[in-house]
Amino acid sequence: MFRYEKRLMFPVKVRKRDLKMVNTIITQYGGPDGELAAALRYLNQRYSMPDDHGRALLTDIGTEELSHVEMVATMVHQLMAGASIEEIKEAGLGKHYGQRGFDLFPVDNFGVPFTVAYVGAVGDPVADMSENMAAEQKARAVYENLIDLADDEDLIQPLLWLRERELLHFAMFKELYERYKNMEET
Amino acid sequence: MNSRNQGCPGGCQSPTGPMPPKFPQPLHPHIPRPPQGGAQQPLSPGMAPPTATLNVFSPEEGFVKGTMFRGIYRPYKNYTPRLPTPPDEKSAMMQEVNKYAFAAHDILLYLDNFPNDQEAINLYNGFMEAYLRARDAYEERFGAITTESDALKTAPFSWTVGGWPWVRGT
Repeated sequence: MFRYEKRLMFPVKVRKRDLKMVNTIITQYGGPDGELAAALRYLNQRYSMPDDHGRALLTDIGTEELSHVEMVATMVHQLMAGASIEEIKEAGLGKHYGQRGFDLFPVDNFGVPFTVAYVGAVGDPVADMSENMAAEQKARAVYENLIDLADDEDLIQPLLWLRERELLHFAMFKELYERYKNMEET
Repeated sequence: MNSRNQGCPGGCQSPTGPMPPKFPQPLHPHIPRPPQGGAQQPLSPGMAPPTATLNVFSPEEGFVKGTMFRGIYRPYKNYTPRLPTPPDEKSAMMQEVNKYAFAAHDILLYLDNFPNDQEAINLYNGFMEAYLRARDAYEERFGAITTESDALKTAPFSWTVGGWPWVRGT
């Protein structure tokens, strides 16, 4: 089961409204390499893992990804909160506002709604771990793109932090990948 | 070597004989392997890292950088990870909670791969204890972070009131 703690894993306090950044950060919420996709990918894959290492690691990283979903959602929320209709129109968020108001909606930068087709899982531990390693690298690259685009320290710091988590998860999955690869060959 | 196919929640049998040559190289470069042929330590392939000291950051530094493991940390361009100085005691105490919870969590991930590493287990327990202490201290003053908090005995019920972390200014 899951329990909630009323805190962010790493603080997000965006003081400056910036509607232009909403449409780029949003991809780490609902895009193909976003945190929601990561959480669902790992929490789905864990059922077919051949040993307790895989069950444990996918549970723990999958759970952490849910905390990342919350951080990214908080960034998007704070970037938009309190905007005037004029500001919304000017930033090209009229379509979003027309359909969703100030609600968040998991989409990518092109407005493509989140789809579970992003969840790579084929029931083979070596293939699944390779998928996860690639996914962590793609997310790392996307965070770097977002950091390049951002000019507010309040955004840059949590983005740097999330980027570093991708590297850590990559290393953990790689360890597991080697283990399963080794099992397969013996 | 079928033992490697099993999770070893109760501890793995130590294999006899030398390490198989296919033993994966450590991916945590800060963890040196013991000298070849000198395996004094029970070593279950793929499970137990050698005895060498885990090269971890302090919880402060690890939390800011986003990883506890020195060997994995890689900065981006010339950006410097930093945390703003907490503007008030509430933020400062929350930072303590976050910091120790993070440190414990990162060691937890490591233990998923290496559950026989007693040094990591000790680290985990130390960070977990510090986290629980910091959490109790925060909850006593500023209200519940968890639904099992002692701070939920009086009105207003602080799980409900205040502190929702996405709200600007909380």
